[in-house]
Amino acid sequence: MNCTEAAELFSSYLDGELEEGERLALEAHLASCAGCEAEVRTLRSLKHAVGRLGGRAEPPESVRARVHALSLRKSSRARRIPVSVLFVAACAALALFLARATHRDRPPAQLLAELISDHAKYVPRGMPAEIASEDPAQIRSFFEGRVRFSPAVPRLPGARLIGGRLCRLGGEPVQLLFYLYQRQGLPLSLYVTALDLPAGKCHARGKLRACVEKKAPLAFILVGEVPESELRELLRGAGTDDGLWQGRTRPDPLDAPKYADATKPVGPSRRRSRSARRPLQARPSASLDPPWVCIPATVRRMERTRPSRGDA
Amino acid sequence: MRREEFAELACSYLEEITAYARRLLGNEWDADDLVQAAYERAFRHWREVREPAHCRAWLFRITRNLHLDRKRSEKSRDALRIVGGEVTDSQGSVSAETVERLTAKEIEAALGRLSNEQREAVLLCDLWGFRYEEIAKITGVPVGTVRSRISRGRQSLVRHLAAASGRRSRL
Repeated sequence: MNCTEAAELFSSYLDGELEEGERLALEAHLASCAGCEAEVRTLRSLKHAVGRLGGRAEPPESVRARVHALSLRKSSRARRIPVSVLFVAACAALALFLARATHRDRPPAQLLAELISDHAKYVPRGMPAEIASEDPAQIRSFFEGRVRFSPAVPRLPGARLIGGRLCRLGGEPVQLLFYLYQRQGLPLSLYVTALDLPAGKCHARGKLRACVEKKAPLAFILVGEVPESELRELLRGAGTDDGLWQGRTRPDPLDAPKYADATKPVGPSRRRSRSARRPLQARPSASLDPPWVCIPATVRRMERTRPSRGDA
Repeated sequence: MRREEFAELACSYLEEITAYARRLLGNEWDADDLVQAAYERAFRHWREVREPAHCRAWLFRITRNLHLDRKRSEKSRDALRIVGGEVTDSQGSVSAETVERLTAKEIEAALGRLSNEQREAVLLCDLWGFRYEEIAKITGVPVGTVRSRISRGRQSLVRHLAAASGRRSRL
């Protein structure tokens, strides 16, 4: 083997990609040729130097959350399951359904209390917006495809839109919009969701209030340190330039978990339509059981993992 | 392989896929979008992965193919563009000791002067540790082409580093 032939094999040799015969022949040549041996050492150092550049980079929280959600999603292709297993599963599901129905008459006070708690804890420290903008169209396009309804970015009378972020309530993606109430310069959080919440409910904790308004098919929860009458007035006056409350939900009929339906007593004798029954069966994760708090988990993760950008 | 196993494996490669996408695109915003789209595609077609050992290369391939699909749909020729250009006026070499003293920035600069194909092959091999056969599957070329790209790429790197080293010593 001469030096030219040997040089053709250096890279493969360093990568362990030579066949036994070639490797032995090359090593014999290297043992007797200082020039080639030095060249191989250079290439080996170079390989190690490239390997130290860092082949990992921290993705943003939104990508990590999306990938995590994908990993949890059920496979779309149904598997073949024995009839006996299906029967047992159906009985268990019915028992669970009936058991849960007896607990569904609580008002959304707990939900509103949690949202007030989020607002009190996180919003004054700087609204944790994923998109900062005063332009409703821009914020609306941010939510397009991220929530399972046509996004709504209303104008609130006397309040200035400043941004938004994607949240989850009971596993459902919802919009969280941030406003500044110009009268007192106070921050407001507005949740926009397709969850079927009872309209007109308000909850108070200290000076903070949270109120629900329904503009079918969407529900709005406004949270802020504002008197209840003013919150209701803000919600009543909410509107969009483009007549937004058309708010079509996506064609998927499973989208909106029925909270209002769930407040009614349900028993074996009550006849429920197929469409009303499907959401509860098909998307149990979309029910309004805790955890429904949306800010703390994401903010905690943001605080814990500072994105490192210089890795790649 | 069960879906849960695939999901766990796929998620464990998220940081590597993110780094790969950023190298493909050169900016974080587009790269993060590519990563998300790649995982969406991966979770739709996860059954194609027969062996857990193939999962990582398969994810890299999906990311790369998606990137090329987008480039084609944008009617852009960026994917085939040669970044920088090979230095032909230098036949120099550098010692192993010199290479060991190089900073990451200097290595990146030299990598930036390789052709896309050579840079990609060298990075897949040295940075992410893929075998030639895996690189061939990721990039859709024969193993012999991979072998050649890596070999020529490293030779070019040495020449670029020698030229840079020569320029520095003249200053």
